[in-house]
Amino acid sequence: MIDDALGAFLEGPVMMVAAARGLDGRAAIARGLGARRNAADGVEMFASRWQWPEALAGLAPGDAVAMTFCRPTDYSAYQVKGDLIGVGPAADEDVRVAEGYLREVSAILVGLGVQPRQIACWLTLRDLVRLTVRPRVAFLQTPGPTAGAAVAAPA
Amino acid sequence: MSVALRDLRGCFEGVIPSIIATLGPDGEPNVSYLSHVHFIDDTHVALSNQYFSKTAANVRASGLATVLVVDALSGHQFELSLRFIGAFQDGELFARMAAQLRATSTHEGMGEVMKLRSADLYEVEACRAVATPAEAGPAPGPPQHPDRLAAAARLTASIAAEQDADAMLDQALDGLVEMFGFTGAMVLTPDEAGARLVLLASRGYVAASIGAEVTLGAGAIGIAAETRRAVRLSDMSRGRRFETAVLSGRTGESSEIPLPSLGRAQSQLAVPMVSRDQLYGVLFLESERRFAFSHEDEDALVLVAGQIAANLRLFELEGRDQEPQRATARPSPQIGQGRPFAVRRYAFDDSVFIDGAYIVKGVAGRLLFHFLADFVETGRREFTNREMRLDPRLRLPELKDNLETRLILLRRRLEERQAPVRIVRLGRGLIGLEVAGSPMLEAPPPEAAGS
Repeated sequence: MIDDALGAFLEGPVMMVAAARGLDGRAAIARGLGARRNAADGVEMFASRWQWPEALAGLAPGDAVAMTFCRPTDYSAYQVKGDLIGVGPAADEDVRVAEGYLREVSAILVGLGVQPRQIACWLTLRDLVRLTVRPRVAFLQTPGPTAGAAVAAPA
Repeated sequence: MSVALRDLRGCFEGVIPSIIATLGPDGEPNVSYLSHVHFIDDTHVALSNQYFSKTAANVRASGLATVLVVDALSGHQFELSLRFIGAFQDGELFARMAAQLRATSTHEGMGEVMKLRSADLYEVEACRAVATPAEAGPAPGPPQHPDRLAAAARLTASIAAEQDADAMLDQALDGLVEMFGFTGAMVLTPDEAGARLVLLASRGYVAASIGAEVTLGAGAIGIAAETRRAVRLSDMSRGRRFETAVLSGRTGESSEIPLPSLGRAQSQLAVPMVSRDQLYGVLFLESERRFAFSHEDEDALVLVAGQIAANLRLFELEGRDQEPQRATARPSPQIGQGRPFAVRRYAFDDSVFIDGAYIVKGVAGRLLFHFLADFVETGRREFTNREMRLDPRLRLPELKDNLETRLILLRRRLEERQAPVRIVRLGRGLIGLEVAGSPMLEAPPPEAAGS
């Protein structure tokens, strides 16, 4: 259900966050460190469990997850919602993807005037995990009258 | 609460987007970027509800939200657990947030998109610091600000003690430079129609640019004037600088005066000068430093701007009620007699040009032209405020004519232009005309004469 345009968007150097029910039963937030589509039409996102334990430590397959991707240069944004298929330590290949993402998005943010020391607060590969999500629905979330419109129907 | 909200003021600057996450009744999460979280007090924040209906629906259903805020300088992150209190579509909180959102989003080219739907008030039930990698450096301590309250108290006292409106403006701007350490400062006043703001005095710019204009509603200055709310921009590096909306003249001779600019301003603070619900102008500061103006600066400037407005109101009322009182001798004798200079007035906007150079327009233009007309006709060089108010040619409104500020504008503009005519204050309610040469009053070309 993730078409090529949306797939390219979320695999690009865009800011990304995930939310899930946290350990205290409230919504909890984690910043993503890169994402990609897998062969099974799932979306994989990487995140630091060390930095975001509230959101990630208690996650289990079947949990609902929301992910929002936002391009910092023009505020274009999409939200993808789905169910967690798996969560586990990132493999070497995953770390390489996350490292590439970190390099690319950092360069863009610095170009926008963000200080490297600020970026260092947000993007850390420590205790990197891979979340694999089966998307159910995606929404356009760019600010404006079309925000919230579904861009892909459930498969 | 593990972190005091008051120590996180750097997270509430609207510079780095915040993130809001909620859960639906079915437990499905929703996560969005959010432009602005407003600090209310140690246990409350307000969120700008602009367009995310799913977030709003979830909050209405559960009463709960989680928000991630980011310190604009250090980048450190803090997660707030919020409980919804209420949504406000009007009132002071809404107006203040709408003005700030409009200023920020207009600056970033998103003005129409980011219209505020409601100001949503939340109680902060918990605030915790997000783990930060060691390489990012230590967390910011509580903000260290100079004692702005003491500085504001000293400055407002000195403003209140001033006997003369003209000198008071200098005192206020000098105080902002010397006591607060600000670099670029200006005072603007509404024009006759209230559609524009006219620069009355400035500090820290290459040119004083007295008479430069800003359209009401444009940029930080125009929004502060229109909404009568302070507007503060802390990081303008990622957006275009506010357009200053300099107005173009309608004649071949230009009456444009560019608003002075620091060139690479990163921070702006515009505070309306209001007394008894009347707008007397805008106090405006800018800096080439990011985050140059703190919340404390904003609060202090609100006090200073209020005092300036109150004094201007008092000067206007005194000038209306009191007999003229001569404080100094006659105006200087006419010098340079015989050297003619051409004075042209365009009726449609009362703009006055001397030897082809634009001087001033509006009420100040009418005043100048009629002073000179009387001088040419009768040799008069002294005029009382009272007679100006009664002179039908000057068409001053019966109430709230702002004559004092018009005279200040005229005096400063003539001085800045090194014009061959000046006005001097001879005492309360009494001004004198100093003329260096022979004014030759000209009619404008017929096609440009207007009404």
